[in-house]
Amino acid sequence: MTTITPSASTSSDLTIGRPRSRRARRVSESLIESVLASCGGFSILTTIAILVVLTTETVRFFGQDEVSVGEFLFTGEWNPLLGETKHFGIWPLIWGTMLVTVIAMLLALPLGFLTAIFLSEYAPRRVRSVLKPVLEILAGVPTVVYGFFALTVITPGLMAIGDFNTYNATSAGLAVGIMCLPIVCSMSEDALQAVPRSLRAGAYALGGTKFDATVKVVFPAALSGVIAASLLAIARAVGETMIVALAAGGLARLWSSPTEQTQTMTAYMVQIFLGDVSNHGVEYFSAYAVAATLFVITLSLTIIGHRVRVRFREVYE
Amino acid sequence: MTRAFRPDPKARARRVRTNRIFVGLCLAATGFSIISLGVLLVTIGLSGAGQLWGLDRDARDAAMAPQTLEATTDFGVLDRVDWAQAASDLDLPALASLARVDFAALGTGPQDLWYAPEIADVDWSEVHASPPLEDVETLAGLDWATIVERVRTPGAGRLAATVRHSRLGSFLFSAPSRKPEQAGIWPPLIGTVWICVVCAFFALPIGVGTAVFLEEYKPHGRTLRRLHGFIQLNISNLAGVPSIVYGIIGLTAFVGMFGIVAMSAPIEIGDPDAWYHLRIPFGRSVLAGGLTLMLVILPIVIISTQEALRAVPDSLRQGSLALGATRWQTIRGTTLPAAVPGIMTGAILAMSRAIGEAAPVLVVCGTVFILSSPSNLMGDFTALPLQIYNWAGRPQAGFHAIAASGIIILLVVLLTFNAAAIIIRQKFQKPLQ
Repeated sequence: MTTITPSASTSSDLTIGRPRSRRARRVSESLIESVLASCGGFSILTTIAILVVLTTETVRFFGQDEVSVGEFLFTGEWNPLLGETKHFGIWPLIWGTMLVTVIAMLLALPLGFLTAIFLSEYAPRRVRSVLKPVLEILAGVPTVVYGFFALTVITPGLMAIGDFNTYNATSAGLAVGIMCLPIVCSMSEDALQAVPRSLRAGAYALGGTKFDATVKVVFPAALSGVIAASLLAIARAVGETMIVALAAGGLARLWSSPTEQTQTMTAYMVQIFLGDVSNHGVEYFSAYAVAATLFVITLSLTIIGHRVRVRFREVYE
Repeated sequence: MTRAFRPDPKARARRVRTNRIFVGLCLAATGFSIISLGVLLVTIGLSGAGQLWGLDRDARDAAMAPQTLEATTDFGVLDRVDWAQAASDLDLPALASLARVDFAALGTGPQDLWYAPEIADVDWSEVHASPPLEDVETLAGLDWATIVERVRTPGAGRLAATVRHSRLGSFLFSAPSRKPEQAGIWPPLIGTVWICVVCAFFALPIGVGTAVFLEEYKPHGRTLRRLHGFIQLNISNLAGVPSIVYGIIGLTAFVGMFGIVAMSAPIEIGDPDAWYHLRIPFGRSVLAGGLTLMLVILPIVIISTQEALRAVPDSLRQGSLALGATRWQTIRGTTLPAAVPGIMTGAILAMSRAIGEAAPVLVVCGTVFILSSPSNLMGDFTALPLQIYNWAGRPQAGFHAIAASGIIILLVVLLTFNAAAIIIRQKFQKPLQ
């Protein structure tokens, strides 16, 4: 302990609170520390609970007669609810998730980067100070609102343009992209702002235009932050639930086109937990297996993001 | 060998042009982002605000006019009917809610009749035709709309009647219904308030405690430092877990309690109607919902509190320690008060996340169609975003319109929270350096 504890003999005016014996104080200090430590332990407990629940229920799922690990991981048909024989191959759900995520990122990443560059490098200070908080507030709009927007605005718009189904992956993907836009933009902008002024000044001194300074110097310098922002946005898109549950439909098929309906892992879980599936059926436990898959995917994205940030961070002083 | 620098005017012009195109691109992207977000808000506003504006004058005047209920009916007969049985026999779920009506008192006093629109929906001729319910004959002849009105607004004043019959008032204060024009959001709104209070009650102390532990009790030993780093990494990983996974954990850990106690034979503490009623396992209750939301926002609370604590300059801590304060005294007397604005801002933003979160609540709630607001921690509940999801998922346009109205209410609540966070940040953030 490096703290200095006043002895009881010094004037009590100098101590905070009433004077107590040194021993009593030490006991209460360590008591408080252990309470705070147990608060910290709670987060570990949460992680353990997640791992235990997902593992035991997934094991129980694979223990059923209808399924095997091989079928789950290596076959491409997902048909747990309808039909004579049930099929549990995870890939159609992963395909649906990928489809929605890719469409979302095609929209969110370029737009987010360009908007971030505009706000950080080009916009006058006043414009920036207004737009940044607005974007941050929009990042707090509940996802069910974006889902409603997809269903009532984007889908009719798409159906007017081309041959789209009432529920389709494109509509959901675009809505997820709009949802991710503020996240990508805000975090990339922070990364760009962290690049020191001297780098820009150097680029100008070499005769570069603003484009040269931004694209060839500042953006590469901020790359670790930008990649971390992108990975976070991808993780968000993969785990997004309400938008896809509302707008993407409920039919999981491998290689389905973006104009048709599709089902993501999260949307399948919604279908199971909202439907009248019995609590002990194989379909019910399949939701846990899907959740475990989703957890593994998002966890690896988070860890990669963390690694990227630590590994490629450029420190300027 | 050095070469003299010769500016190439053409190359220069090309680069200036590239620059100009790029600026245009950036502007277009920013414009698109803002327009798409603007379109989002405007379309929802346009489709939802219509349902919230206006006043049904005739209905208000009718409610204010003195009304008498025909006292010719023997309501006592109705109290003796087994409504739950009747509901399952006839496949009319709305009938089950009649079990709670005190029919004898119907003509005289006010009652909680949030389920009344459901009563008005019942096809009484069908009920009357079935053998065990001959007594119900009298019900068919009743003007339920009037009864409901009278019970709801006993001796309504002009203001109360105006509020009730304005579109906004009737939307806010009615229960969800199968008819979109009668539907309201009172039970989901109250359900959201309940789960958010429970969530804040648990998440804030635990979150702030964890952050204080991580920031203020930096250990010196090697193993302890590893443990610290592990908790830190663990929290940033938890922040990335999709919220629906938390919902599943909540379903297993809180709703079912890992199956240690069977759901069908729960351990009950206290009377089911008492405020302190407790049941193990928690079941699909307010407590389970609030605790699940706590898991979702805990990492956010911890991370934002840590940032607030990190912003407190070290000189303050050192000053306090130099005066002879212990570690905890320093935290309580110096560090925490200095960090309170930052902690509050983070907590409010975390709570607004909790309010808008639908996926975990959906998993915990399941499909139940709930028409009354919960009365204690073990009550069934539904939440605002979940109700919006239900409405938005239906094919009829009428439900889409009320979903938009619900979204407006939700956004107003969230905007209030965000505005509070901004005001706190502006008002209390004193430079400490």
